[in-house]
Amino acid sequence: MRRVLLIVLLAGVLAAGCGGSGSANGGTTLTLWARSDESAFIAGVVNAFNHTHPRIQIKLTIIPVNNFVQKFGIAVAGGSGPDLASIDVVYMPLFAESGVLADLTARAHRLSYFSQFDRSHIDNSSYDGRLYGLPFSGDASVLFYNTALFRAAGLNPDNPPRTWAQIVQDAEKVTATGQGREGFYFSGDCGGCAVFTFLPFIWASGGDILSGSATAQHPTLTEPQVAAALRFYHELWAKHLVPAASPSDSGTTQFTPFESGKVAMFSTGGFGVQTLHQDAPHVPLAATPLPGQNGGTASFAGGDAIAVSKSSHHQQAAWQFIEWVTSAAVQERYFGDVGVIPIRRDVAYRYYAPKNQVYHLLANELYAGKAVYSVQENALINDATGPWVTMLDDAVFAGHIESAIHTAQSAMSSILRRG
Amino acid sequence: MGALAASRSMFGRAGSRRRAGARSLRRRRALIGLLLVSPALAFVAVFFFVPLVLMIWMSLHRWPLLGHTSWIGLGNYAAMGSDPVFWRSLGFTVEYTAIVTPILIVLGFGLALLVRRNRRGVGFFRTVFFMPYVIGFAAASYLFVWLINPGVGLLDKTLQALGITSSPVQWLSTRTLALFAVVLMIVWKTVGFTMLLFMSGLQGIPDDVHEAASVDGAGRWTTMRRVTLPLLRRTIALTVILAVVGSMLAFDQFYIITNGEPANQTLTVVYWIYNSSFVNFQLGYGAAMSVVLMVILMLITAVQLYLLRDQTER
Amino acid sequence: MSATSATLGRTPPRRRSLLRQAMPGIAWWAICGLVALMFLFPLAMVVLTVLKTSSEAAATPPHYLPQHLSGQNFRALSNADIWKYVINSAGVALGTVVGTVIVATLAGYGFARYRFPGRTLLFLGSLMTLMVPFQALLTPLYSVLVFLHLANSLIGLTLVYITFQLPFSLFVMRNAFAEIPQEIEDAAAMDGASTLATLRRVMVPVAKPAVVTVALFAFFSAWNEFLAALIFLSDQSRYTLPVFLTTLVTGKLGAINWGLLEAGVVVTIVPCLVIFLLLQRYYVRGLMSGAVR
Repeated sequence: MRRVLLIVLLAGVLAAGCGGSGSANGGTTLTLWARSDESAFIAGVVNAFNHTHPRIQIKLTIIPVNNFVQKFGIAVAGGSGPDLASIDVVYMPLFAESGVLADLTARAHRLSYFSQFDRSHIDNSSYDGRLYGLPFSGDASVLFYNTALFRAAGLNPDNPPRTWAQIVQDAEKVTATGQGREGFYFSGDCGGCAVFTFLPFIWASGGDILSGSATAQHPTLTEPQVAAALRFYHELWAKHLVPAASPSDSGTTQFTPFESGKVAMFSTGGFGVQTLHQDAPHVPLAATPLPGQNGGTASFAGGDAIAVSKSSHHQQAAWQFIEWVTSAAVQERYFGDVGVIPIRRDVAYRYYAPKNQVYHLLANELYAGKAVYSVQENALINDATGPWVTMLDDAVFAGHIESAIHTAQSAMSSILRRG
Repeated sequence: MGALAASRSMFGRAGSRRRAGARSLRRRRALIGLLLVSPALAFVAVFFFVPLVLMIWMSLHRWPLLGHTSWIGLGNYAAMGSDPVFWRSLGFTVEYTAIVTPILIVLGFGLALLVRRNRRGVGFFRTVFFMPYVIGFAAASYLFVWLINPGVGLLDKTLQALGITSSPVQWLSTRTLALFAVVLMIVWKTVGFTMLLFMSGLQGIPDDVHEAASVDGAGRWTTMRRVTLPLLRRTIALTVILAVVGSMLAFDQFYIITNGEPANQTLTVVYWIYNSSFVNFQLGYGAAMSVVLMVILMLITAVQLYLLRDQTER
Repeated sequence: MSATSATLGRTPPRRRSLLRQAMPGIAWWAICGLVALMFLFPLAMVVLTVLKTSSEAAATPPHYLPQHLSGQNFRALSNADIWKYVINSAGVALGTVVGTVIVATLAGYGFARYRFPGRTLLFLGSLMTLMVPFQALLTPLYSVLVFLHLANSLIGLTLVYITFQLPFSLFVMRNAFAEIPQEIEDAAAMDGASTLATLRRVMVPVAKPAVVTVALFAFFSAWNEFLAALIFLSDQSRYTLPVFLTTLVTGKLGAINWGLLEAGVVVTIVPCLVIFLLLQRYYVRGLMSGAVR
């Protein structure tokens, strides 16, 4: 009796020893964290992988988007992070710099399709010449407009605005038609939304908000293009061309005004197309690039990178998932087909862009766009208490443009200096 | 060797060693004493003194949650000067403290007067007034999140039924209303404690003091102002200190009820330290602000000690 | 119910109380009753609401009384694994109680009865913890826990709770032991009892009220603590109840399941209220000795 018990115990210990942690039925279980913005498509991706890979199972955890950086950072620091994480590209510099992500440089360069990847994703996933994440999902900001409202205001929907003055003009014309219609909408209390949809206005005019290398960055809010762009938004607000809900919208209700069919112009990205099609199929949609002050265009090339945590015991299995998820077939079927811009140029232009005018534009803008690169992106921009949000609030709604810029410039310098 | 002997006597029979010399007995007792207090000292050393020293050390560094640290001297302290959020949160915390403290004192004193005497039913009321104090801040905050919700909460329905308001109040829409909602919760939750402090203070006043006053023909109000309140100085000072320290450290209620909204105007200092350290991962900066907060609170505690010493000498 | 008054000492009877002069019995009952109503209102309402169906609990405008009594919210809570979090909280709270009582009893006895070099300094040093609130130490404390591999661990959280419970507990225990006549202890030593046996068989039984006070305070603070748990625990399966409540708010698209959330609140509150009502005598006395420190 005792011997049997001993053998069973020994077998158990051996099995546990061989299998290692996270193993079941001889297979491997990987944990994957993703932000809630991706819930529309990520479950489909994970299910497909689990179906085709019986020996590797992915366990998906969706993290509320506003807590992602915090949760992931603290988990990794405390040694309880996931094997894989789908990380917003704006946060990649922070995690790449901190040394918690596995270096994927060598493996990535062996991929036959490496040159097809979106440049902006690769740039933001790199630190000090090493690559810590691969492109996962793509997104780009463009200006959407309601063609019916354009027509009703006597505007030609085939001739969308190409300068800020034209945006104001068109917004005025739409607002003038009455019936509660308004020309333009943006979430006034949402740093993440503004960096995606407002910053490109500055870029398109030749300005920027940060400069310098990753380790010696400084803010450049005093550039004239920043003040001009703030004045442009303030004008829209002061002329009552923007719904009154804007100042208090922290992004949670950003689609509501445009979905109501009463707002003519609204800037968002690829994920917005899906939302708009589902929630407001009656709103006739067209899109145009975000223009600069006097012409030119720009776009924020966003989306997520997929990264492996350095402490994961399943580097090989995690890489298998990355290889699979960046393959042409998967990017086509589980990303492109559900409206997410594929992060490979070949896939995007072969399968995604031809579907319609809006997709074509989104693909163009993604591959021409850029992103913000800073290890302090969260504190500078996305943080609801941060200088970016405060500046927009003071400048756009209160009209204190000069002082708002001055305060934000000094607050951003302070953030970049301290630690 | 000595420690071994001491531990043996600690666990073995002390009686068998009674013949040992008085000096070695004293030494052994000293060792036993040290052994008895050592677990407590170990806790305090590891989880209090080490973090305390580390806090000062961290505040002089760029100290990200992950990655490499580097010395920046007083850089974090200098950065505080140009951090508008820090000053706004400090100002708000002070304002919140200045509002909550007098309310707690006045209401707590009123309740104490109401239930100070032993009479039928008084135990029930004391218990009811004090009961919310044992509920945690987080649970009480979530209770009020629901209670003050203009849609599903019962506060607005009741206020309207009583004719106090005519339509549901959006409690979290403005800074003043949000602050009011938090103050309401805090008063409900903690005033019972203030009441208790005043009850014990009132019972410390000898009865003949009052009787002497009333024999002298002093009215109720005069007695209260001239006799009772001065004798309660110590209690009042204590209550103020406890309310001030508690309010300066406020976090849970604002994190849960207002979330710092609207537009981060209800952000407290601890909330901002939390955000800097654990959302923005600037642990060095969070530590520097913690040092400043600690100094402020130690000054308050010093005032407390001064006031209490003043009282005992009198 | 009259336990509170018993603890605070009976006031000697007086012929004419100032207040009673001013306030006849009826008025006193009316005022106290009204105030009591205000104090009980939130608690009564939340209990009534969690007994509603989940759609009724989310109704606008709400009703005071449930139209249909329902266990729906608690079933939903059960599906949200509430028991896991109750066990986490109970484990941390009991761990804190046991740890605090043992450590504070040993040290309180040591400080009260033994002379050793640096005794006063060490005692004051341990009490210093009272002056620096742990909220100010969270950032470095987190780094210490990471270093000890105790971040994201209920054990680490318990150790932190014990530490910050110690000064108050040490103070209470030392005073309790100091009040015990030396003769009692000597008699035990005469019988040949060891230090620990004396402590356990003689001293602790005499100082039982203080032990209960220390245990109660440790329980309440560990059960209710929010900020440290929020920061130190990153794995949802290790959350304590107060932190678990935050996960009930983040519903899909910001829509809160009110019945579920408030049922969670009730589960968090009820143990505190029950324990308080049963042991309020010890609790109130401890509060006074701690506050008047």
